[in-house]
Amino acid sequence: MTLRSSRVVVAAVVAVIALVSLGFAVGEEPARTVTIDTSGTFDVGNLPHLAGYADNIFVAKVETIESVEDEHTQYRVSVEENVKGDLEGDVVVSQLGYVDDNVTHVTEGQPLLQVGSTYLLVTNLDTTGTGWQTLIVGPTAAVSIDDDNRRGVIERYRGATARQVYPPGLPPKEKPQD
Amino acid sequence: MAPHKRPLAVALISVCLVAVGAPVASAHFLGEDSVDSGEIRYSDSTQWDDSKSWAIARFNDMPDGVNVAPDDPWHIEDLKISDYSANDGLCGWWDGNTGADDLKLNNSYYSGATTTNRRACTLHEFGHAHGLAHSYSDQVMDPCPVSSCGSVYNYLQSHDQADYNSLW
Repeated sequence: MTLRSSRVVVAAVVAVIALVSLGFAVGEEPARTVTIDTSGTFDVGNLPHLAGYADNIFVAKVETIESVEDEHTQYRVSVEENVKGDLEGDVVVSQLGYVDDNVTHVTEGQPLLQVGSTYLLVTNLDTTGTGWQTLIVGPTAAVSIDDDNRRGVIERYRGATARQVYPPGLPPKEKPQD
Repeated sequence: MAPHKRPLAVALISVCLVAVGAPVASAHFLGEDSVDSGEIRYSDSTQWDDSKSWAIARFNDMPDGVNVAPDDPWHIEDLKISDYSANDGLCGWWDGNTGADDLKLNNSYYSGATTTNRRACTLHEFGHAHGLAHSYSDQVMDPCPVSSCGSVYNYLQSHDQADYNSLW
């Protein structure tokens, strides 16, 4: 490489670095994740209590993101198998958490559902009349499913459902609007 | 108000605590909060006024600390207090934002809860607004602060106060 061509290369590298830096300088916030800090009302790690609190426990594949409303993300999911309840076809699951301006807001232990992934989901019918399923907050209410763990996870939650108990001392759930 | 990231302050506090032999592992900070220039200025549309007033009074009782007061035209809003309704297993949550932060109380829980439990949950959420993270089961900042999980506290407990005093 001649001296002149090496100077051209160096100049090109400096120009690229300058352009990339300018991209950051004009305000594009780097991607980051922050926690929505919550107060629980029962131990979601107690699976019989979780099952007792839930309307539905089911395995579903996330097809699309439908909408984002009030710090919640709504996903359209296709139901594959029921553990508790009798959902069919496609339903909308609403999860506390969202992405805004390159910042992902999530609750502790429950990442945002991913389109194309399959989960065991633990939900209650939304109380405000939307027909959505409200995802209960906690790591045990959204369990990633693959071919290796599918039967084991489903059997564990079937067992919990068979022993289900509404969490002692917890006020009754709010009834959904008609 | 933009969340105040305090990694440097937390690191300095941790170094000082190590230097004096204090148990660093017991400190529970979020690294962000709704505090701006020593105050939290809030707006609210919550119907749960008793628990909101109770929680604010408990934190304002802390000497030489943060002043929690209603927002007005001469201040920037730091915190919005409002309600939502969902059978999601929660009594409330706090979320830091670029603008005013959100503190949400769950009608689906509060409508059937006792005054004691409502106050405990709201006090817990205001703890997050002050930058306190979850801590121990015998504190307000227990991850599950209501009676269906165990003991309920309507006053800041020893570790809650220690963490608060470390920050403010």
